[in-house]
Amino acid sequence: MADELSLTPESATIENPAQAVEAVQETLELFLETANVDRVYGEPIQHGDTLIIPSAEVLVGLGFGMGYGFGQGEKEESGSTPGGGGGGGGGGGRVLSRPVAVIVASPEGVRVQEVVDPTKIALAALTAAGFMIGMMMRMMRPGRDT
Amino acid sequence: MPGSFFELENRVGAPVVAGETRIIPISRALVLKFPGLKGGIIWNRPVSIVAQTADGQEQVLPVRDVTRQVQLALYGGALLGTLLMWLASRQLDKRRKR
Repeated sequence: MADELSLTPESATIENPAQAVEAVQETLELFLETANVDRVYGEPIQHGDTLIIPSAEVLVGLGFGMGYGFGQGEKEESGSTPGGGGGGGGGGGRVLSRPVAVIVASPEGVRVQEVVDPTKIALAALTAAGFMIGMMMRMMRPGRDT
Repeated sequence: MPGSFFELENRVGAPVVAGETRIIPISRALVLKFPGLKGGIIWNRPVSIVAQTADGQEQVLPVRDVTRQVQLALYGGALLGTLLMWLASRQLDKRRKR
């Protein structure tokens, strides 16, 4: 299943740009691990003679960006030219996970028990009905072109 | 991130032993990478399991996402129903004009 990505204020403090790049690299490596099988199938749970393996669908989106710049000031009386620079970066992501099925292995055999989410189905039914009613009202509107 | 902008592959996990049965999990991962950016989207889902018994029998059991199937059926039904209603209303309009 999906690893937990926790950022505390202490761990989010970056002292230098190299540290920032390293943090981004580490997060990207964790992100790529999401494609592994063990992120979808959970740890097996033994219950008497029965072994249960939960499975879930995982969707992860992640993005990073960073930039930096340098500038030069006017020449000072001493002859030296002051300079400065700065940089910044940011990123964000979202992890969505949803149970799909449970694999049950018992002495009678192995079977896949689907997990049904009635809330999601009810929301989909309401959306579909709303779409159909909206379109029907539009079609019945007097003076329409089509 | 290795490889191309778009990857779709089946991945096989480590077998789990349950009594005399070996269960091999299989998942399918879709990896999308944004060109020129650090990041992307990964959609990973269970596809099937292979159950191997001690006597050498092998059984492939698909992992069906019933919630997703019902959702798609509802959306598809709504689109199809709307299309049929639109066609019917056009026919009625034509008849009225005649």
